Amino acid sequence: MKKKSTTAEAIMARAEKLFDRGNYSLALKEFEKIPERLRCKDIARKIVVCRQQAEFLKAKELIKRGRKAEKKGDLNTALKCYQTAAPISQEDWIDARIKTLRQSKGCKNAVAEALAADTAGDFAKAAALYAKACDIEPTDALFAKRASCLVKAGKHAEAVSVLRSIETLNDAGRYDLGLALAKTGQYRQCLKTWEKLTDSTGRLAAQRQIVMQTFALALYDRFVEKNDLAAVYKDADFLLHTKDCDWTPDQLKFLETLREHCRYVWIENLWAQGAFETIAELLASAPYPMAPELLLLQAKTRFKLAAEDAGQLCGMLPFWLTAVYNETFAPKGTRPENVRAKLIHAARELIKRYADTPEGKQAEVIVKMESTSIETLFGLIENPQDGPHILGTPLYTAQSGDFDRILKRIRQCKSSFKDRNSYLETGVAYSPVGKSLYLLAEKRFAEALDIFSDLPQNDLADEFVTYAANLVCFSFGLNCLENGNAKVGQYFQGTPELFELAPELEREFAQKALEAEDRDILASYEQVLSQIHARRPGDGVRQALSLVMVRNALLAFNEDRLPLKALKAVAEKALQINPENDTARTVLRSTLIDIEINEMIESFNRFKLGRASRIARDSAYPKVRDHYFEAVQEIVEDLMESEMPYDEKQLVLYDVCQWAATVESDRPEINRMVCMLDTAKTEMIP
Amino acid sequence: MNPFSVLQIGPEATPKDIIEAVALAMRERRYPAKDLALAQKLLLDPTARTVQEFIHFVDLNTLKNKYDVKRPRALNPPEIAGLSRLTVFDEAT
Repeated sequence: MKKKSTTAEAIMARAEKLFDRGNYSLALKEFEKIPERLRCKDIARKIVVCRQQAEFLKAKELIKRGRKAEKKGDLNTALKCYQTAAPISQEDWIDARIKTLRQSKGCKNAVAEALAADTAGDFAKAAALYAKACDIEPTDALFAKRASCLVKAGKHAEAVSVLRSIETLNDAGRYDLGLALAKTGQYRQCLKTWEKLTDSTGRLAAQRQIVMQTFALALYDRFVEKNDLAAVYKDADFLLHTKDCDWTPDQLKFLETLREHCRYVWIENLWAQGAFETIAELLASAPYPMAPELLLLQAKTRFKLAAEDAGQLCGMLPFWLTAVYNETFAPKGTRPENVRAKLIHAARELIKRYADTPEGKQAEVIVKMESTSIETLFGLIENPQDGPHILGTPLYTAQSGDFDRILKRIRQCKSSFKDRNSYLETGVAYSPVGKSLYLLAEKRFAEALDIFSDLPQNDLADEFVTYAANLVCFSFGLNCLENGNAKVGQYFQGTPELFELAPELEREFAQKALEAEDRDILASYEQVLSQIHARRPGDGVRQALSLVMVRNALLAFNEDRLPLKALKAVAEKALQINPENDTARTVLRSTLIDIEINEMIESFNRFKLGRASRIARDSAYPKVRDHYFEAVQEIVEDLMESEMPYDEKQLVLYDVCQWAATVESDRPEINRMVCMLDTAKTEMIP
Repeated sequence: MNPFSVLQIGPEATPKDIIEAVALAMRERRYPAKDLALAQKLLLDPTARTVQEFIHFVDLNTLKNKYDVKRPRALNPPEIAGLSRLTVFDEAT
């Protein structure tokens, strides 16, 4: 290896070279080898630069080592490195980092000490140390550990407060919170906190059971002290709805009794405050059969709600009418029927207030149908109340699902109904398809029809269901027909049976048919009437069909869609159906006249005078003969004005006169012809 | 309109009470004279009064009495204070 030159110039050159390359530590070593006397100002400056740069590099190296140590969790080494680098480095962040590391070290120490205290069973100290660690590093994990130690130390209230500050609790945290809540008397919150916890050992279930039973006892104490019975109701209800409870029948009965008693105490207070919506919510789950007192409460609450909100009207009516009919009004010498009538009137007045709203209109339909049905039933059934059951309106019955019992009673009273139609209408209203009647009344035909689409075949055999099905189909078909739908025949299959039971429907239908003006609608009416008539030629249908077919045919004739002879055939058929159809008779008569006149004119045109005269002579209608003589008159006038020789004119005139005399000999037209003949004779004599 | 609240009387009010209440309300001018007259009319007519009582009052005593709450004999759970902290969840997490 070649030995380095030691001359001052060589040293200087190496130092400069190293300096220029940025290798300040080696450059410094070389610069320092140069004797003091030879050092110029520039070298002295470079030496200073080299020293500064060397220090800076040292600090950089220390920071790098500090970061490495921090990564490895060696906080002591990291802190040492940063502290050494801090005075040399000009970086601002190092001081803040040193502070954080000192805190982390403190936290770590505190956690280590807390763990030791926890292991040693000194939970209060452990909790305090965790609190210290939490101050430095407020993480959920440290809070949970602190809370756990607080629970172990018996500081439950503090534990609850700490655990509630944690955003997301793990299972251990949730368990600790539940336990702390139970121990601070917050049983409901405890049970709610433990709700999602599962434990295969069954030990948690046992603890839950103890909490629930203690909770139940606490509820009793609160009840005795009359301490916020609304809250007691809510808590009892909560306990009864809590899953996996192992209540004995006695305990269950106690809780149910407590809940129901407190429910009504609360309702009493709510009524006084006018909080009817809350009362309605509390009554929403009331079971059927409903006790009369509960029914009254429901009715009154819903009445109050309906007074403020039209949307409540329809829901109120079944309860109101049922309650009003079932209540025995007998105070102070009043007549029960008068009170009942006034209460129904009150409901109607309420509906009137909303008469312009859709809800008001719907309520009008409901009150009419509901009151008719229940009034009919109360008029027929001697003892409306049957054990715990109440005789309600149709919609009330639908809500209670009490169809069978009511239908049985309706069938028992069948002979007492004013007619079969009234019996069937009442039966339908109380049947499972009763809703269809309400839909029909609101003109919601398609929805009414849908009710029958899914019915089992057995149900369709029931007399009430059959009646309703026929009525709904008829109404749906009629609506389609009136809206111009031509294919409606299928909906009138059961109409003959329906008309048999409800003659007023037949009358209404016939009237509608007679009032129809549109050509297509009239044709549809004729088709449907004909279909019904084929199976049941009732008076209304018979008369309407007879008239509608003539009107329809006349329309077609007037529009040149029907020949005269076809019109005659229709008129004849219409008269067969209803011999008293004056329109058909008139049409037939005028048709026959027109036919004869046409044939007569045809004969005249073909110069078949004899045939034309025979038609006129044999006709039953003087109008035909009038027409004949008018035609003859025209022929004679044409003849006289023609260029025909007189003798020929005389012959033709004679012939015409002879034929005309066979038709009606004393017609003045014949005398005129005879005169003409005489005149012709005279003119012919030269 | 609730005639009982207008006249500030209860369902037990006698006709005399009603007339006095009307007089008092008129003097205090709590409601227009028309409303007070209607309230009086509704409460002095037995049928109308029965209707008003039906609408504005509920008697829940029958329902409450139906549910007679008694301390359950078979409800003697161990003290909550005796519940020891389970470690099963510590192990799980």
